[in-house]
Amino acid sequence: MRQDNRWPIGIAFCLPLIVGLASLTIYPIIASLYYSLTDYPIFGRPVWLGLANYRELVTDPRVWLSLWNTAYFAIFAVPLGMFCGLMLALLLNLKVKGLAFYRTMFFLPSIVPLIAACALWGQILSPQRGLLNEFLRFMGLPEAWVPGWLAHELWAKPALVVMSLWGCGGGMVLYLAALQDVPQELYESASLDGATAWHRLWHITLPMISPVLLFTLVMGLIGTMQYFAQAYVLTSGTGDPNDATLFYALNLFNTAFAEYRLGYASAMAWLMFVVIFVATLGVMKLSNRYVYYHS
Amino acid sequence: MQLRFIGAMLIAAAVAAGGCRKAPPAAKKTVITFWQPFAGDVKEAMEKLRVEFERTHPGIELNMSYAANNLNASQKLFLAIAGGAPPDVTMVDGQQLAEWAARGALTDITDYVNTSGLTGNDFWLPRWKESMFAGRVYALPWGADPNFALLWSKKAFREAGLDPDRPPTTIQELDEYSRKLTKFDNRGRLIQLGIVPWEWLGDNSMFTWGYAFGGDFYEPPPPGSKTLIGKVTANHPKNVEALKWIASYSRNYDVRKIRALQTSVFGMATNNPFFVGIEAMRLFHVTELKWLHMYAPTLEYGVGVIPAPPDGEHPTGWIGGWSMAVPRGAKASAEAFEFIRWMCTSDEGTIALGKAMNQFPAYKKSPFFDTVKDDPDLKVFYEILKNSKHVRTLMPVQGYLMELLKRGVNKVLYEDADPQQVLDEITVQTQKRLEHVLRRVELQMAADGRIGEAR
Repeated sequence: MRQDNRWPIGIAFCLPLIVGLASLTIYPIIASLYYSLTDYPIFGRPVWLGLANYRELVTDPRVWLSLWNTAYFAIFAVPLGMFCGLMLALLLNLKVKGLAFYRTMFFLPSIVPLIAACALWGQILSPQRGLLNEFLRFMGLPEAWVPGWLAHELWAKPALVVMSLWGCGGGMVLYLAALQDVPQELYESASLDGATAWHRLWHITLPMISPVLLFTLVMGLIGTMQYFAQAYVLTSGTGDPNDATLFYALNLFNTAFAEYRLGYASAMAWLMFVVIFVATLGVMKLSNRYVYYHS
Repeated sequence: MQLRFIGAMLIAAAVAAGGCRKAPPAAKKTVITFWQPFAGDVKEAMEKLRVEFERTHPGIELNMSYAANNLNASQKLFLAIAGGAPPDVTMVDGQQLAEWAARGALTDITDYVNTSGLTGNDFWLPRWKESMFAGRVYALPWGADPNFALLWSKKAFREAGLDPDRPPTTIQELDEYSRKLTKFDNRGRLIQLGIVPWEWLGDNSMFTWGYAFGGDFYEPPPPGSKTLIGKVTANHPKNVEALKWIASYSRNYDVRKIRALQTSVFGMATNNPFFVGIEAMRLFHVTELKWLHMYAPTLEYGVGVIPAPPDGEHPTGWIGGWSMAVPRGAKASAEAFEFIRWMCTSDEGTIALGKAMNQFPAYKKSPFFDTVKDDPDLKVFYEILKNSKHVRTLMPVQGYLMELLKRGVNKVLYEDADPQQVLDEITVQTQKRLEHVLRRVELQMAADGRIGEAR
């Protein structure tokens, strides 16, 4: 059969994906742009509002509060998660005995079902009898300094950051794979030149795995901007205590499906898109300076 | 050739899909789909009801399935209605009814109700009012649960030197008892509380204590009025007083420390803070008595009415409960209404509600109430039910008000915000939203030629 006759078959095999993508992704995206310009209380026709939803966004204190909560979470959770994942990967890369065992153990938390993980951490973080605070008390921390975690508006976000670090094994696996790709001869020649372990890490390891670091940074950033499920489960969707865990996606969800203001929620979604887009663009721009693609 | 192969595959797929379809039932029955939000043993009771209904109504097949339904999660139903594929009958929380009816999510069943001969006098009045919107009936009330009764632990009372058979009756007494019942351990941590006025839900608490103090939240338009729009009164002076009182507990005991103690137990049914002894007094919903007997069988407790200030409402209470309605887009049929009527007014339907769900029927004449009179606990709840004048509100923006009250109470508890100012803001915002929603409804009614028909 001739080569040029085969395109309909190719299309036919791709059709499920094309139809799915067009109807379940591209159409909703375009539709949400239209709805964001309307008042759409789910039943009845959307009523055209022009830019009124976007004007309201700018002055809505809860939008800004939830953006701040999300930014706070991203600023701490993403770098800390990368740092912990990298540390674990570096340790495991030391050719320790039982590598497969440790790798599995550290990776395991990131595949624990989310609800189960939340139920578990809800108890670990319990201020009065939780494992974490009992440990802090055992270490001699005075009662007044023991954090209130999810019961205290200043500690609720740090509590979720701590919880997110439990899942840093996901990044660790990627780093570990990247580390094992770094050519050994680079380390050997550096050692001959008298480079210390620190020098080798800073001048060889990090540049060589920087594409993976960039990838996890971008994915982490996007993931935390859409941070939702843990906050929803641990606070039953309320954002308690006193809106300290009202993240942007949670706010958006409640606007759409508790208040049924689908038009306004669509506008919120577009704002989130712009924020993620700008943040990602910023990271990519910066990365030109720091990321090294050796291939 | 490949194209023919693909064609054959498509045909095979179509045949396979077609083969999955169920064979049509032999006898011709009317099928009613019914979405209900219950799981666990309540679902089992619903299953028994289904069997009983089908036995007594041989021409009807009841197709029952689960759909989560609360103020934050009715997505399945709403999306089904918007998508044009709703069930024939759905449960609806009483306080949602006006909102759903105003949004056009429900079908008017006034004619069916009139034909059946049922009137408002057959039901506990607040729940009947909660079944109507703009003068039309949109549901029949199934349950009528009185909120709330005060439960107190006799052991904790004895330990604190209080008379275990005498609950507090005024707010002043409640404060005094709370002070005596609050305990700290040697590290300065709270280990026992008197009462927590905001419990877990700041929004419900505001209604409970607002009504107890003699406040109100909404003044509907007077009968015969041309407009549907009433007046939001969330900043009623008595509500402000109630919120100030609620705030005093955060000032005295710190909401964070109380929350830390409350979250030290996990699971409201098994480890209710009252069952495990960290709250000496607590407001109870009638359904929770079952858990009390199950998980704290040895706890010695008393049941009484909510304390209120001398110029407040005593006994006080508001009624909640499930209603049954026909979603918009479903054809209201005689069969669907018969199912609703049977559930809400038959002996079987109302007794099952009482026995399996531990709630009170909205239907006053249910024989279930004969069994309540001699039960030492339930009879207190029954008294509260008989005396209750309120539901939360009859506004189509009730969910919004609840949300704002929750935020407002939080602001007062955590940020020490001024109760008057907080409630003033809530009133303005709710009134604005109310007018927005009802103007839409009024325009629609004018377009349908139903102007002036309201109330």
